[in-house]
Formats: sequence, C-alpha cells, structure tokens
Amino acid sequence: MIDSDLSIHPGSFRDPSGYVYTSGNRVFRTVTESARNKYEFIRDNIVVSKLQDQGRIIKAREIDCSEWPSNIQNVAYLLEHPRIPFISYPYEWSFEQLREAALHHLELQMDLLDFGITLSDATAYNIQFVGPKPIFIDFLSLRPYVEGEFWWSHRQFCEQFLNPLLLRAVVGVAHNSWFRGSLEGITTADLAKLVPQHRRFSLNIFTQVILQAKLERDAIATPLRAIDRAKKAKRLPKGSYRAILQQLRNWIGKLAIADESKTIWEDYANNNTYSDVEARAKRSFITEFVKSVRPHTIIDLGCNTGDYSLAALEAGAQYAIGIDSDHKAIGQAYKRSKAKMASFLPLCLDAANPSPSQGWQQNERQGFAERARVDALIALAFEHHLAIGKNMPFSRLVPWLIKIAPQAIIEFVPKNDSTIRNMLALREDIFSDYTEEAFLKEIHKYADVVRQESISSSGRKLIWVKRR
Amino acid sequence: MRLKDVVLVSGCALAYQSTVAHAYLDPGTGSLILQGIIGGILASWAVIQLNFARLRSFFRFTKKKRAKSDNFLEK
Repeated sequence: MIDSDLSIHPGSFRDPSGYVYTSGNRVFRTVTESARNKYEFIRDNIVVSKLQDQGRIIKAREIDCSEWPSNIQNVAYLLEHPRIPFISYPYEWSFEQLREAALHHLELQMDLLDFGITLSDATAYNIQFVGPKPIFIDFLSLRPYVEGEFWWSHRQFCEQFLNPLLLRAVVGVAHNSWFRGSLEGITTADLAKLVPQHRRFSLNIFTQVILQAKLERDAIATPLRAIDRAKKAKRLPKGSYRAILQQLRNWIGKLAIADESKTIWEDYANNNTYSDVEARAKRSFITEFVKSVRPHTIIDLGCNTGDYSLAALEAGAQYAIGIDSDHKAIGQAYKRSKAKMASFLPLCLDAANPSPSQGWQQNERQGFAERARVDALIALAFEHHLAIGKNMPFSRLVPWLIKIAPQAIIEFVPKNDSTIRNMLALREDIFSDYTEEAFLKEIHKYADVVRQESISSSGRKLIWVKRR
Repeated sequence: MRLKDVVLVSGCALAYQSTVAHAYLDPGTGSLILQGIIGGILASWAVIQLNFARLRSFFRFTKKKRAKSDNFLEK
C-alpha cells in the first residue's frame, strides 16, 4: 500500500493525460480515463519497451489498484517511475548538454515515428540527465501518430532547443541567463533580430529562423485571414515530417560554440596555481574522506572541469553533481563525464546566485537549494571566490556551506596566496577579517573539524568538517 | 507549394488543434506554415541523396554491402 501522503508535483499541470505525484523518494504518474486508450497503445508497443531497456525513455511500472492510496481515485492507471538522481533544467546545462538533449529528442522522435508513435510536445524539461546520459521522462507525451499530421511541437522545439543553441553557435552568447529568465525558451522572433547579416542566408538559418519569424509576424498581423481561408485541410506527409526531423538532427549535430576563446576556468585543470603535489594531496584527501563517509551523492562546488568530482567517484561515491559558473568549463566537464560514462552531472550555476524556484506559483521549477539533497560536499579553492570575490562575510558563508551536507571538505585559501593577491591587485583590501583563525572559529560554531591538512607553501588548507 | 496554400494549411491546422486531445500545446502558425513550405523540399532532397548514394555505389563496382537499416531495432 502506498502512503496517502502522495502530493502532486507543482510543475505537473499542462497535460490532462495524467499528473506526476511524489511520496518521499518515490515518483508516480496517474493516467486519466481520457488517456487510457492512448496509454495502452503506447505501453503495448514493442518499440517503447525497447527504448526503455536502452535507457532512452524512463521505465514505468503499473501499480495494482489494491495498492493505490486513498487520495488517488477515478484514474485509469497509476504508474511508478524510477527516481532521477538529480533533476536539472536546461538553463543549468552547458551548450554540449543542451545539444545532447536536442539530439536525444529528435532521434527519439524519428525512431518512434517509424512505429506509429509521436511526441505531443517538445519541452526541454522532459529530458533529464543521469550522469552524462539523457533520458526522456514524460511517458504520457508519447501518443499515436496520425497519418498526415503536422509536427505540432516544432515551434516549441525551436524555442527550447534550437534557438538557445543558435544563440551560442551563431551569436556567441550563452543561453543560460536568457533561458532562466524565460522558462519557455527563446522565441524565434527574438533570435532573428540577433542573427548577423552574413549568417542570415545559410539555408538552415534562413528557413528555421528568418523565414519562420517572418511567417509568424505575418500571421499575427492577419490572423482572421488565415483562419477564414482554412477551408481545405492540407497534410504533412510522413516522409516530410521525418525529413524535417532528420535535417534538424544533422544540423544540430554539427553545431559548435562560436566563441572559441578561452574562458577563465576552461583550461584551469591544466593551467592553474596548483602544483602537481597539491593536486595529488587533494585527491588523496578526497579518497580518504569518501572512503570514510561513503556518500551516495556528493556535490562539488566550483567543480571546474570535474577533476575532483571524478576523484570522489573513483573513491566510491555513487553520484557526483558539480557546479561552476563557467559554461565552457562545465562543457569540458560534461565531455569528460561522457567519455568515461561517469555518474557525474556537471551544471552551470553561480553559487552566489543559484537557480531560484520559479514558474507557476513560483514552484513549477524548483530552486537549486530545494533539489540539492546530498550526503557530502567538496568545496576546493572555492570559498575565496565568495568571501573575496563577492564580499561575503565568513559569518554568512560558513553556515551556508555547512548546511548543504552533513560532512564536507572545505579548502581555505590564505590571503598571501597568489590567487587572492591577483584578485586584490586592482581593488582596495577591505578584508581585514579574512584569516584562517576567523574561518576556523566560524566553522567551530556549527561543526567539528575531523582533520585538516596544509597542502601548499602559501598555506592553503583542506578542512574536513562534520556538522553537529 | 505556394504561400497561399501554406496559409491555408496553417489555418486548417489552427482549426484542427482545438479538437484534438493533445491540443494543450499552441503550435504557432509560423511553424506550421514553415513545415508546409520546407517539408516537401526536404523529403525530395532526402530521396535525391538516397538515389545518388545508390548510384555512386553501383558505379564503384564494390561488393554490395547490406545497407544499414534505419530501423533501430535491427541495428
């Protein structure tokens, strides 16, 4: 019997075919009576179970009605899905992750279309990552294909996948901030205004952006005329539908970041202020920490290209989430995670301004803090970016760090370290309280220090803390 | 396909979308018109590419290899 504390997910309201519920760590989905036939068609189609076995579509187990909780009534089916380790959103993905998600969507559509199934929408939120591997999670988006129908969600695909990718590939601007401020994505009309003149007449950009924006403008200008003339229905043949998907798949597969100049952190793993000795000391410390704490999920603040997330996984952590504000570093981290097929999910996030809870009732997309339930934290060469870079007092920074996970490794970087000297080279030093003693004093208010180790001649120190 | 035709297509599509079960999504008129314009062209282009590839392999006199199936279940 399932607990009746089942609660509807605040972001589940658009599709009347069914709704997502959660109870503790379990995730359920109802199938309403109106969607019974559609669901049974999908469930019994061999291609769907094959795609589920391949990990491309989330699995769904039917719950016997004798186990249904009392607050679930008048539905056709109750399904249970395996829980995704960490829900992330497209505005937290690197260019490479968004491209991977776009290709996943298109390839899924093409494979399903061959078996008479299509997807009823094209929202990027329906793709999640398990480590580097994308998975489609909205089971009820699958529905029977109707011969001759249009690709109804083409516009949504453009707004949530294609246009954000083109913003980076053609205009050279990362999609993240814009997408975070506009949860439905980037409109074609907006993107069309930004495409440089010399790129406007390539076939793909002209058709998918410039022409589509013009057609949209014309339709808005004369909507009644379009409807009045709607007397004869026209079809989009299946071959044409497939050709559009294939063309987008080929194009998106080749898209690359326009601005190839190095960002601050991209080459950090190879070109940083650490010596090899320091890096080895950090890995050794992390290994000892992970073997002792045995975390399921670890979060790596300021993960850069993922060196220490991967070290934590090698030491025995089950899943690592890395965050960094540098998009290109996260792109590199994603490529490394994918190459190793590691259980490592890197995300573009600024710790000083993480994703908020937003959307409908400010709860449709959860904030990062609400989602970040982890067993352990590593924050190496991180605190000074907040304490010095963002003027964050230790009295605010330390309790925030300790609240994230019960046990953590935090690196303290002293003021005479070359990194901080560079940070302060062109600004007034207003950080008279920035000392190791003050930092440790603040830690002792909330946690015990299990072990600490100096790892550099400048006095960088790794501190293993255990929350009280 | 003439623009007039594709406007008709989009208009029909707009009328249709209010009657189908999955119509909780606004498809966007411009997108539908665009599909009407480029769908046929892209499908024709795909057929040309396929035939060109077949022709090329015929003239190469190479041992005929079984073409990779598009059906992912058979891959």
